[in-house]
Amino acid sequence: MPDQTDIFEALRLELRRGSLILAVLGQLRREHYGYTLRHALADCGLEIDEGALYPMLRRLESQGLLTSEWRAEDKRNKRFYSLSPLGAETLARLIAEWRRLDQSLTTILNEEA
Amino acid sequence: MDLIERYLAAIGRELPERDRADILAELREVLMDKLDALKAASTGKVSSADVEAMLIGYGHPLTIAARYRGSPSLIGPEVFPFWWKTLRMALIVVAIGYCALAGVALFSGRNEHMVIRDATASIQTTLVFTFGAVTLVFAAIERFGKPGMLTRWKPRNLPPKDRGMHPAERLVETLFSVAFLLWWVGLIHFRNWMPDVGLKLDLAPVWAANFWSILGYFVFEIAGNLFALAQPRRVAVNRALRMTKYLLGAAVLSPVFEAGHWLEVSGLHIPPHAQAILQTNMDLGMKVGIGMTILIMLCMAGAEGWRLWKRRRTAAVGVLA
Repeated sequence: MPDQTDIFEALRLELRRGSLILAVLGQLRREHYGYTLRHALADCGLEIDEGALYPMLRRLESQGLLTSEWRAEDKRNKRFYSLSPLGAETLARLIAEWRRLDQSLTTILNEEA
Repeated sequence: MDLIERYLAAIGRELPERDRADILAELREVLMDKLDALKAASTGKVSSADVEAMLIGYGHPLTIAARYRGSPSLIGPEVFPFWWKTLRMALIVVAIGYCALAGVALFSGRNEHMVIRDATASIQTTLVFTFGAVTLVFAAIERFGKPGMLTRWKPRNLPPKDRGMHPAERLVETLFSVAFLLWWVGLIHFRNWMPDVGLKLDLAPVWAANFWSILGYFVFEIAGNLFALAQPRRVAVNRALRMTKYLLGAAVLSPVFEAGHWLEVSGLHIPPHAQAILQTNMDLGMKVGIGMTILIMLCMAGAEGWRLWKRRRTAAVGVLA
């Protein structure tokens, strides 16, 4: 039987999964490559595993939400990602949804407290 | 560097060809950045143990490749409950079918050790095959079909709360009825389990005289059960059919009961007075058995009739309310 820590960890991961995509899309309103994106997210308090970040970026690109291009920086080729027009539109809708959810949760959690 | 290239090659082998070069180019840059960071932290000297630790930290090649490929489930969460329900039903039907076939083979005179050995070996293979076949169908629905089709439903198609006999019980009853019917018309023969003590038991002429009515009763029972299995939601019709079946059973058995003589006891090596005692006891046993069966059938018919009446009354009250 999973102990309390396992249960909490599983729920925490579930809670983070959806919000990480929102954070990545939000951060990519400015162009980034993987390394700088990861650091920018970490600076805002959101750590993300590299092994999960790069596949996520590819998936979002294949869904048409991101565009990418290879460019040289610091004598090395980097893949820079940024929001596509579809990504920007989707992000705006997701932000509205997030705010609604946040408001509802705040109300519920304050009531419970 | 060699370790990094081997690591990338291991990931690349698991990636689709069209994306491979692109993914590996990006991964190579990511790992080079990490290596640079490692060099900066250790004043320029990096051992192969450090690189190994870095790669272990990044993840197993199969895990990393799987993240890029995405890992579609064989049976996803939407399809899973339908797969599980179908699988359970299929396995139960196969197991019951095998038990019935083995029972028929056992009673029809085949060597019991051979029957058990053959049935145990083939039931395992068939159950594994059934598991594979059902899983394959649902994996195909998951992969190529529209799983949403499975979750489209109408509340009015739900089985009734009071659906009576469980389908599995009904299936077992049907299989036993079919086996009896096949024996009754002489298509299968059961082994004589009586120890050979020179005693012979035969059915009295009353059974042959009622051959067709007994045949008709079992045909009606099988047809009723098949109808109930196909149309479980027709609760009232199914109850009426069961009530009719019990009444029919009692009616069929009544002339049999009145005959007063059901088995012929004979034996070359048994004295006539012992035969007469046996005959009396056998007939007494049959009398009690048949009489009880008629009584139980009439009670069951009454119970079904009562439930039917109660159902009608509830429906009528519901309409008035």
